[in-house]
Amino acid sequence: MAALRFPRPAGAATVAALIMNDPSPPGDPSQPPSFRRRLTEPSFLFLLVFASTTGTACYVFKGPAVFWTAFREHLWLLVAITPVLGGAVLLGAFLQALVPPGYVRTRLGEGSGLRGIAIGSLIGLFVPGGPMISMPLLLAVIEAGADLAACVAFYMSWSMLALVRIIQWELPLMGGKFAAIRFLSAIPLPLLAGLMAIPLFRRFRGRTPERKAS
Amino acid sequence: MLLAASIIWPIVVICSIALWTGPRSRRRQALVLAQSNGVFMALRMPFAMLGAGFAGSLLPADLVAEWLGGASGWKGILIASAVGCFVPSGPIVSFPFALALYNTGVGVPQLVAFLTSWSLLSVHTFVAWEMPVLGVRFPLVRYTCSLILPPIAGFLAMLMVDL
Repeated sequence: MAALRFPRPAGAATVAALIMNDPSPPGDPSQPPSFRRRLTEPSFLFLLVFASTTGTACYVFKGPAVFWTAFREHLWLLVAITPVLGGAVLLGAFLQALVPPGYVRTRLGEGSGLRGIAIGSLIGLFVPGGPMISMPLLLAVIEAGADLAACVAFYMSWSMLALVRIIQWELPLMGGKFAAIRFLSAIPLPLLAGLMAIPLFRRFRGRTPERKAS
Repeated sequence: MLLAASIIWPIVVICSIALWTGPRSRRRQALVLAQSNGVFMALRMPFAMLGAGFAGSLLPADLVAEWLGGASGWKGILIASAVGCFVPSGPIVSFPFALALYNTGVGVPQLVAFLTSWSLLSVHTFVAWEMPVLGVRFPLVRYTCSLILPPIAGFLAMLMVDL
């Protein structure tokens, strides 16, 4: 990954890393962490604490009957969603291996203005994964001098409309009707954000990552 | 469930055929990634699911229905947008939690605003990922542009629900 030129807000980042649910930024993706290491990852420990705290609170305040109903229902939900999650895990990995980041980078770097915003919004749909994939990608694209408004549109589209995430989480858990309503109401937003970003970037200049490219 | 599974598995098959015919190193990379992601999910899912379920049953149902129910309209959309910023987690927790909210009686537009706000304005993603990796200018402009989007999404969803 490219060198970071901005000082990391170390304190905030560490605090956030402790409570967040995403994995710590991975080092070498070809070297997955050992199983023991995984059991001590902050995000995993956070979930452990989260589940036991809410579970205890539920048992104490709402009574055993509510506790066991919630337990059974969500265990059943877990079983039911497993085939979808399994497929999504494979799909995410396969897509990541099939579509090299260089491809997305060149596509995203191509357009500017309205065209760039449209391209960015479109690409965002097809990039799976969490921030550990999209952030380094964005950094590389911005450093290469891509249109910033297009990058904003890409970010928005990736975080709201990413298809793998919708098929993996929203469709099975919330149902088709809800997923459709949410998807349709989110479609105009990346374009809108990209258009709003153009004057904002013009107005708010300063030391910026993209200066390096020029 | 069935719909999602029947969408996702054919695509998986197509992708695996594409991988199989491609270079060997890529195939290896895909398998390593799949295994790594699989262990990641398998470890977290049970706790995330149960935690979200318990958290959902802890919510005061009548209050939630009053503030965020389908009848709460604009007020509910704004509250949901504000709450969404502070859910410190990835999709593993927030979608099961959204389901729990749904079952407690939160309205569809409010839930749309909540999920949009979680995905765009999540404070923890901003502090832990965007600022450290992308600096200050890009994240700030992006965040500013995003501020009004969750209510807009909720409004659009409200129009669609009424249809």
